[in-house]
Amino acid sequence: MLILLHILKQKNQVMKKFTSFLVVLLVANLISVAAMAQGATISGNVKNSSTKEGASAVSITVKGGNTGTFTDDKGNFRFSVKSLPVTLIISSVGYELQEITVSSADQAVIVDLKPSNSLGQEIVVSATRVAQRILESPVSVERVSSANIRNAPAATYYDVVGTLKGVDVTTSSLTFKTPSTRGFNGSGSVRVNQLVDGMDNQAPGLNFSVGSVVGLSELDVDNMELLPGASSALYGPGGMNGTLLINSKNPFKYQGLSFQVKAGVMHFDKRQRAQASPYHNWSMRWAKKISEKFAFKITTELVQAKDWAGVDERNYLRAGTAGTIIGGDRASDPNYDGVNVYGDETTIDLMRNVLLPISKQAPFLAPFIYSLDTNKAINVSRTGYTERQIVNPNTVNYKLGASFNYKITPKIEAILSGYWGTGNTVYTGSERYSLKGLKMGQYKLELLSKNWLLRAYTTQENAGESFNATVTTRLYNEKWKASPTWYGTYGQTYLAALLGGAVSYNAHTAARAAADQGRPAAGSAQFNKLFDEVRKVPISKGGGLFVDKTDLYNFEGQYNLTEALDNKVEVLIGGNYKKYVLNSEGTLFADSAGTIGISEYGGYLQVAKEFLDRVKVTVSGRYDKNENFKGRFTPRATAVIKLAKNNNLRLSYQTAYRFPSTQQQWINLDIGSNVRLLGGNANFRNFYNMISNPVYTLESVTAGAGVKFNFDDYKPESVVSFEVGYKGLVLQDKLLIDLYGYTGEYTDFITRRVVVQSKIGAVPSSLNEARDANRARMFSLPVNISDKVKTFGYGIGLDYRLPKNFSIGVNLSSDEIDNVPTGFAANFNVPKYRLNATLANSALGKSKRYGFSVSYRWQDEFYYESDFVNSMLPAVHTLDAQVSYKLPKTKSILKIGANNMLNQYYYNAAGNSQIGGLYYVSFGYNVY
Amino acid sequence: MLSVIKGRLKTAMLPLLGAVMVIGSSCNKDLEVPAPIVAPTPGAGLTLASAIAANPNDSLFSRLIVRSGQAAVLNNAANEYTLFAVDNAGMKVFVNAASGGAVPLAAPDATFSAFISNTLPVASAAGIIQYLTLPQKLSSSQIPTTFPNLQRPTLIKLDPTNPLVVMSAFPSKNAVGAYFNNVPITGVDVPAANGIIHHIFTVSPPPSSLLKSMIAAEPTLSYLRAAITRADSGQVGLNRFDSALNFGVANLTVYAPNDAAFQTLVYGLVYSQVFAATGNAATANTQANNAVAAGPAFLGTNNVTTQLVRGIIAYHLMGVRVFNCNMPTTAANFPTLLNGAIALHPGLRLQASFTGPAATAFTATGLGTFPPGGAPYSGGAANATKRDQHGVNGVYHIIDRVLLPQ
Repeated sequence: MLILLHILKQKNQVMKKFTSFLVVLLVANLISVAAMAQGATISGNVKNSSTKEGASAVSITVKGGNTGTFTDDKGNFRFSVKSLPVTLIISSVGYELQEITVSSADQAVIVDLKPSNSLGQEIVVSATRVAQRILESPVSVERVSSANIRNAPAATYYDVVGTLKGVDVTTSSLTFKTPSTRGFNGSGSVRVNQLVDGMDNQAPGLNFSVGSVVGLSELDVDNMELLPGASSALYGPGGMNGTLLINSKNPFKYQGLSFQVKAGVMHFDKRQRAQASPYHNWSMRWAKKISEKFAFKITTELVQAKDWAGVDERNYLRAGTAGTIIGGDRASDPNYDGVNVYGDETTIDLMRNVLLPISKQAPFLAPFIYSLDTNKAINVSRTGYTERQIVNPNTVNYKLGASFNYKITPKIEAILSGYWGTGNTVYTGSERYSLKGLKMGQYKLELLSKNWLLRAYTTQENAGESFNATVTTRLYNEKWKASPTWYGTYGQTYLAALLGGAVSYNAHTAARAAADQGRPAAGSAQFNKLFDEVRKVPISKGGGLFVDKTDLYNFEGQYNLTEALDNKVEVLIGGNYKKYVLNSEGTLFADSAGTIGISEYGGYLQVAKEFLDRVKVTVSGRYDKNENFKGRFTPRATAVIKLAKNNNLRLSYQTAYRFPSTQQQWINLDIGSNVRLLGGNANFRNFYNMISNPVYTLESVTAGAGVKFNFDDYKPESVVSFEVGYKGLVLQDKLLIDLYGYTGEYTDFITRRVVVQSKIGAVPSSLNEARDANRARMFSLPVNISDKVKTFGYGIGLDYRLPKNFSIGVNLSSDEIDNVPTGFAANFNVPKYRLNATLANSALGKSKRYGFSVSYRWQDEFYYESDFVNSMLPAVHTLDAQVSYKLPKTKSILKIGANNMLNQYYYNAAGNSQIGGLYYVSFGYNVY
Repeated sequence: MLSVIKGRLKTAMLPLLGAVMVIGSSCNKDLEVPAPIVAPTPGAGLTLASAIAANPNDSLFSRLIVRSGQAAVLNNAANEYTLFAVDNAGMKVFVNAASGGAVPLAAPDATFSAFISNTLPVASAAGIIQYLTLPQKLSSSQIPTTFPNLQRPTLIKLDPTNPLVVMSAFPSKNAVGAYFNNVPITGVDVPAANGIIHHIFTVSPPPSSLLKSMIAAEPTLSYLRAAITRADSGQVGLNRFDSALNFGVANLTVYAPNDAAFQTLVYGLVYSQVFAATGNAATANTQANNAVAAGPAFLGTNNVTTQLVRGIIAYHLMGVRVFNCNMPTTAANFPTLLNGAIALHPGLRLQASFTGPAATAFTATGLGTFPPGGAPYSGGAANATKRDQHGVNGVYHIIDRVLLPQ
């Protein structure tokens, strides 16, 4: 209840802001009510014929006209028509369509709508930006409806995406998951577009969506559509590995108050946390249609839990931004660098930096010190802290959204909406970041007509108190005991122990104990004080805080000319202008002197024509220009061939590309280990003097002889993809088969390459030299691979409707990569095979009140590559399940569910959190 | 509620349960815990003290270890040492000397044992064992033949507040043999669980005095002391020879000309100067004799320059520890402290004689000759009259000529 009060309070605040807007609307309302008063008013109620519950959000339209309405949360409707009689079309997804003729306004219209369990009837928009049946989509598309979400075993709606065919999800933390298709998975994918109600949902400073931390609340999700693979032709640069569109419920259609309370438990095995911890997920949506012209909604959601943690403590041998897992732990490897252990990235060669200087001071020890082998480095890392010790376990995600919808005319709807979210989460980039108090808002003003739309929106990001866990802990170590002192103690104790006869192994142990004497325990008052002092200071001023207040502005429009052309040919045109304003105050980008603007604009045209009632050909193209890069044209051609009723073959040629992300253009970040991450902007070459003091490839330096690195033009990367697919209903329309096969060819693929620049004028010739900040520095530069990288794959999905509302779905997909040049990390990061299987029933038993679903997912093992860590990932099996029970009288639903029911810990990206079981019960009111 | 749901769903759940069981049997691999690098384990066999105890021919040395209280250290399997052990014959030589002859070489074994176990002070025994024990393994092949030897730390700590300040020992190898300081190594490379054992001819006891005090106690080195005082005038810190000779962690060799050698030099210098000035041999002889009669104080007068004396002293010192056995059998030149100022100076010429593995004599030749003139190194060689006087911070040899650097 508290949350409701809180939300109402929030609502009041929001309402105040929009007062002036409302005044305008009210005036408009009065005028329109007066105009409508002349016709007849029809009212009625629509029920589910099976359960006798009021059916909400059912569309009631006048056949052959433009007027219509939706039933409210009780199934009631009421609207005005110009004259009687009229034929009403009553339709809703999941029900059979009904027509009813109304000749008198005196009697209430009572409709019993029959639920249908038929397959392939969903309408999708994303494939062509024009509504069409999913069976007739010219490209692969996956759809998740609100009904799917309601019956899914997933704890949050966003997780449902992971059960779709060909989708991989990279889980950085409980609230930060990144879906991707056809390869190149990562924590936050810059190759996947996510659009929420038409708004690009990326955090503009990061260039990827932070899962659903900012976006729709669960109860407000109408549907999600996923276009796997290349999809830039309609949605613009970025969507090389998929575009996910998440659409909210229109307040005109979905009305009333809904709320859902989920309470769960995580960490019950106490493996990651000292205690089992609760999981809370509360969401609420309140929508009201004030009149036929005006409706609004307020939505909110709060997720709170103790997060999954990165607990990989294996030893990592770092070389720039590459590396491998090696043997050894903190106790046994003096240079141990644990994957999810931070602060231990600080490493020096004890021989060169401490022992040889001692030999100068104490010549009587020199021969002994030399005998330790001056050629062999004695690399020693500082003692780190584990992720669990430094990252606040509390993950919170609070979302607030509001929308005000006003129908200027029955055909034109104006929407003013905003989604705001804040949260704590963890993400993995080149290092692990604790996103603490991240805030992001998206605000939109949109005019929607049947044939056109105009949309303006902005994304306002604020990284809050987010910090780089690695950098912060390293700096914390320095603050507690500066490295010269720490290593001095270490070196002297090490030597003293050797002089006492200790073997090197034990001498290191003694040395570490001495150097670490007085080291504050994680969580102690001293630790917290020092850690906070570092955490709250911006990276540019020697701390670990990254400031990111980058904003994005976008304006777009689209016009469907089909009606204007008498439906002879479908033509769609559109365009947009996008502007990034990078603002990290010098902590992330090279923007210490002021914000950096990046402008992009683009336009698209799509023409579709049906031939012989069997073949529909669609050709589309998009041109985009980024101020820092040459313009790009991305064509797409698709054909749908109707083999038989409800059986379609689809062929497509698609292209996609992306401009280097804002980070790939302008990042300027010291990530420790003597490596600086740079953007590809040519200005960096002058700034870091790379022309007169050349840089050498790390591989050649490691091999012993530096080879100069030559700069090429930095270009956008692109992919050309061919796809063949089939979607059809067989076995009396009870089995839906969806097959696809694709190939993709990536050109100018962007990856990173580490180069070494000498500080002493000589060509660097060893990894140790590259690591030595006194002798050299390393840069990680984004570069294009000149070779073409090929990917290919296929997928098969089967959905079968069993009797008595049972349904079973299985999908298997595969992705592979070819032609990766040696020395380049492609970061393809996908299992060769993955399988999802689901058995479900949403209306079980005589009363049809029970529901359940069980999902199983398996994915093959694969080698995961990233700037943070490279490692083999074992195969993953997960089982999710839920059982639900409806209480129709109170319009409520009870649910018991489990994610990863068998509590089989897994991770899907090296260095990321290990995910265990989450068990929950939920109570939902008026969830539709 | 749950039971109702369970009941109703029973039938539907059956196939699911089957599936769950199949799936349940295929578990996710647990994240590997980091594999520790295996800590080194002691080698096979006995630890050092036990290995010595087990060897009947080392029984006296074993008693010395027991007396020293260092057995636990030498048996510490976690550490590694190199032990220079002494067999019973060698121990008898040592006891004979240590007892001042009270225990004759022909005495029964029990007498030697009793001396070690009862008479030899524990501190002496501990010092000897700590001195003969080097931390870490040093196999015979790791001992280089480079001049003069290898400086290696021992277990003797010189500064209780700083564990890095330790006494060194000087193993070496040359064409004739191998040595621990100046004691021949008689057997090498016996492996033990926690180290390696070499045998040496007899005990090389740890030095206990600094060169300064040792030189101060030498009755024939009064001129040398006066020369050092003169050479140090105007110098501070370790630039003073006197300070270096009194600095525990310095490492020096002093070729110490005796008083007779200095008197010869003083006589010759004065005579040649006076004769050059007057042409009168008798006057020159008188003045030269007067200068000699003035004793070491002459070196403090204006008759000689500080620079001259400083140069001569620097020429008699080396920054390494050269025992007689470290010198070559074929004469060769080695740098002295003078090379610190004159890098290209050809140094001092040394040549040793050996009887068996034992060094028995050496000569040292300077670049200059006295009286002046003649080709470099053409003058008479200095003979050592007292060799291998070992101090904490170096070694000195008394020689019978002053060597001239030019």
